Amino acid sequence: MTSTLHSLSVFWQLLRRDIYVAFKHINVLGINFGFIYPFMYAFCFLYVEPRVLFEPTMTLQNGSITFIGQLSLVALILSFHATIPVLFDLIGDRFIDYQCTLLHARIVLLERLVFAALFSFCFMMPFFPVAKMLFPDSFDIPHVSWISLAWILLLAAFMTSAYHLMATCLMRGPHQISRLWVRCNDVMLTLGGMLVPWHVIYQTSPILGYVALLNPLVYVSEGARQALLASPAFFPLWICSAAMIGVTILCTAVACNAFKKRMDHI
Amino acid sequence: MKLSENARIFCALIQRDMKVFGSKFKDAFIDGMCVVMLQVIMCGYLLPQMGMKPHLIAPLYISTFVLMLFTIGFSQSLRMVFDIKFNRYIDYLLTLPLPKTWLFSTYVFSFMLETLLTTLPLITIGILVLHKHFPFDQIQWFSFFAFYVLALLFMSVFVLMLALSFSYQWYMDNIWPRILSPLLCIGAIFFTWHGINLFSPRVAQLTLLNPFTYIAEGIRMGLLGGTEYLPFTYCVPAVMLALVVVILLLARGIKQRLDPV
Repeated sequence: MTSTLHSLSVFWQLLRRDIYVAFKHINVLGINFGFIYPFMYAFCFLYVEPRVLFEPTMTLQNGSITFIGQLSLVALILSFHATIPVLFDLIGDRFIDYQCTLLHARIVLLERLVFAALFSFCFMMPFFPVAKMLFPDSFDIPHVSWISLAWILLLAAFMTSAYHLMATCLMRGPHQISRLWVRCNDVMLTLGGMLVPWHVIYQTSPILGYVALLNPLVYVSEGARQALLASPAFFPLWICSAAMIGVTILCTAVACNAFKKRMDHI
Repeated sequence: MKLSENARIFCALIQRDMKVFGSKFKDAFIDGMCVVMLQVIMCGYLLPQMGMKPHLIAPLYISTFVLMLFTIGFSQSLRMVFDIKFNRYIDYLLTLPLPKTWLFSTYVFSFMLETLLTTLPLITIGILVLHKHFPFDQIQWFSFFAFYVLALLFMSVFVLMLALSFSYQWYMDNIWPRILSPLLCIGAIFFTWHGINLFSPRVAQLTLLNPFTYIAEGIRMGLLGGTEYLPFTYCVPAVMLALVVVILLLARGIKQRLDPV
């Protein structure tokens, strides 16, 4: 009992430390994720792209669908930002060795996951409200459920953080970062509903549609579309939630295993 | 004599870079293939299924050129940033008996060569897959190739300037949200300039401030011809003007970050 309380106390202290360090960059991150990203993506995908690419009757609907899919990209950028210091630490200073003397290695990794998820969640929160404020006529979301959206954002934050933590533990060094983005993240984004919803992928090619179901980012984009647009064209929230929780558990398990192998010097 | 010595060291450095590139070519080709195939699927099949006008498939696919320039350029720039921060191989290069202009020209030339060798075959494959949408009789081969070399020159100087103008921390935190993403999103890269001009001339004028608008439109003009795109008479001077500005910024960055006496 005393040991559990002690572990919890150390866990909380490590979490506080990470939050304190992140807070030092709050102004830079706040400007980038609170204004620049929402403005830029809303301008590009909500305002300009639908008017140039699609017929006038489809502009409003397709603009909102395309823009909401950008959440996957923002979630990946944020979780990458929060988890990549682990890789630099593992190949550099190894501050994590000191942390592992205080807590079990798996709990240290879990603390990083909780921090990365909270960090991503906090900076994802302004994305849609800011876009709605900047482009109220182009972003048509009369049936939005903000509570459902917050739930999807939280799950997306945990899932992408677990995924990037897993990638961090599996990568051998920073030279593999560009490969991670080009060969994994970009593929997952493009075929994960970032620009087109799953039913369009399925209509184009049913095989591609079934393969896309293995892509965890499909559930982020579909879940966000369902929460904001509430249409039967997208997956129901419970399917998206279940899939994201499953992927989070799977990625965390793989990350713990890879992390243990990496830390175990015996 | 001096010129020939400089040229000899320049060639040796390029040869070294090409040898390194040769060992990484397979990876670069696979990475590029991923970008091209995703663009083919997105522009050729998924977006038309969603209701995109079919005549926009070819001009939209051509944005792959710019996307690949960004992808390869960013990794090149990041390599330079890591070198300045950690390895400092640049210090050894600065001690070589080679004028600084020649030295930084090797970076630019290597980048141009690597990007040309990676992008051209890949994008040709994509064009062949989407051949129905490309009017092959309208391609202006010489103009396209000459303009593409100019675009590569601009991009290589631009990424070098980015690597040498900012601190490591600023670069890592802000280079995508504050520089690269706005250049990609607020320009005529994912859509044609005439398409923007039809619904908002003001936004179209805004995108003219972005040099990548001219690069994308120039490549479209070279490969697709017609009157739908900005002509070379606008694109070439605009890219050259942007190149001069970027060279001046690069010179300032070199002085600030490396201070070669």
